[in-house]
Amino acid sequence: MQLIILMCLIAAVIELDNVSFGQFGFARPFMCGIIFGFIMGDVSAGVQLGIFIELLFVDFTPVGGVLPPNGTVAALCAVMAACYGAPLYFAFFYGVAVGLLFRFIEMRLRGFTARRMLARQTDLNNNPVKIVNTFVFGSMLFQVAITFGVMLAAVLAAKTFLYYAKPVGANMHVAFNAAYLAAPWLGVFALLRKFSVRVQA
Amino acid sequence: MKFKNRLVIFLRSLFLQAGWNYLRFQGFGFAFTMLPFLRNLYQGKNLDAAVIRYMETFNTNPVMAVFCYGALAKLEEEVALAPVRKTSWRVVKTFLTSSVASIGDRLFWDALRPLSLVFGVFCAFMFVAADPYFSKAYFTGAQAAVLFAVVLFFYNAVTLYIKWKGLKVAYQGNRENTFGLLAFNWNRLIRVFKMIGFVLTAGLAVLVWYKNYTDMSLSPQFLIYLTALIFIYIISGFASKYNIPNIYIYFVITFVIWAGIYFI
Repeated sequence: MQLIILMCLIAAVIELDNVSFGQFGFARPFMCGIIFGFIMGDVSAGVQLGIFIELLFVDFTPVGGVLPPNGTVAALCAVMAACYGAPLYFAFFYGVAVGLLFRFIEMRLRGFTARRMLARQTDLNNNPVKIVNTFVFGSMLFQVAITFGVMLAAVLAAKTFLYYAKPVGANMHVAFNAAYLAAPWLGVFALLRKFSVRVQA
Repeated sequence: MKFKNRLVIFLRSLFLQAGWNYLRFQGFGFAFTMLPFLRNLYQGKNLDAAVIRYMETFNTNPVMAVFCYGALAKLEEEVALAPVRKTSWRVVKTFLTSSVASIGDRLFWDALRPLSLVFGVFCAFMFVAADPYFSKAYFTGAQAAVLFAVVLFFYNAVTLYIKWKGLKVAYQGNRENTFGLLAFNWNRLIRVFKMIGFVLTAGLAVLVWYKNYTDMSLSPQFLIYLTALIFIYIISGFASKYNIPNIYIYFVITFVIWAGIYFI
C-alpha cells in the first residue's frame, strides 16, 4: 500500500508538468512510463505502454482550451495494472480509459478554478499581488491533491478490474490484444498525416 | 533587459499555466511571471493597478509566450513614463498573443513534440532490434535511461533555447521587426522538423514491417496482417477526415473484434 501511495504521489507531482509547471515533457506518457516502470521494476512494460499510449494520443493538440486525455494518469494506471499481473493489452485498455475519464475531471477542475476566482473578485481588486501568488501556488497544490486522489482510486480500482477480467473468455483476450497491436499503427498513420502537411519556406 | 530580470522572468514563466481557468486563461500566470519586473517600475497602488491589468485574459502558446514578456516589458517601461500608452500596450498584447500562439502551436505541438516522440520510438526500436517482436521486447534499465535522457534533451534543447533567446530579442525588438519574431525563420524550422519527422516515421513503419512480417512471405498470416494494416490505414484516414480521435477508434476496434469473434 505504501508503494501505491508513493507512486500516486510521484505521479501527481509529475502531472503538474503537463500544464501547470514547466512543460519539460516529464509528464508525457513515454517519459513517465519509463519512470513508473523503473520504480515498479518492469522497465520494459513501462517503455512499451508509454510509447503505445503516446502514439494513441498523438492526434490531440492542446491548443486553446482543448484538453487531451491525461497521459500521465493513463501511463500510471497502465503500468500499475501491468505490474499487478495483467496482460499488457488489458493494462493498456485500462490506462487509456482512465486517462480519458480524467480529462473530464480536469475540465471540472478548471471550471472550479474560475468560480473560485470570481468568488474572490473583491480581494483580487484590493490586494492583487498577494492573490496572484496565493492563487498560482494554491491551484498547483489543489491540482496535486485532486490528481493524487483520483489516481489512488484508479490504481486501487485496477485490482477490482483485473479480478473480473481474469476469468473472461479467450475471445476477449484476442480482441484486446488485436486492438492493442493496432493502437501504435493508428498513431503512426496520424503522425504521417501530421508531418505531411506542407509548409511554405 | 538586465540579466537578473531576464532570468527571473524566464524562471517564473515556467508557472505560466498554473491556475489556468476558463475565465482569464493564463492571466494569473502572466501576472505572476511579470510581477518582479513590475515591482522595478511601480510601487503601492500603481503596482496593484498594473498587476490587475496583467491579470486580464491572456492565452497563448506557453513556450512562445516569451515574445510577449519581452515586448510587453519594453512597452511597460514606456507606460510607466506615460500612462496614456496603456491602449497601445493592450493592442500589442492582443496582436502578439495570437501571432505567437499560431507559430508556437504549429512548431511545438504539431512538429517538435511528435518529432521527439518518433525519435524516441526509433531509438527504442534500434535498442531492441534483435528481439523478434517489439511488443515482446525487453529493455534494460540503462537503455530506458538513455531513451529518457535523449528524448528530454532533444525536446528541451529547442524549447529552452527559443525561450531564453526569444525573451532577449523580443525586448530589444520593435514594431518594425514585429518584436523580435523575425529573428527566427519559423516556417523553415517547422518545415525541417516535419520533413525529418516524416522520414523517421516512414522509416520506422518500413523497419517494423520488414522485421516482423517479411519472413512470413505470402503466408495466410502475412495476408491477414497486411489486410489489417490496410484496414487500419483506411479507418485512420476516415477518423482524421471527420475529426474523430484515435482513442475512440481504438475502443471501437476492441469492441468490433470482440463482437465479431463472439458472434462468429
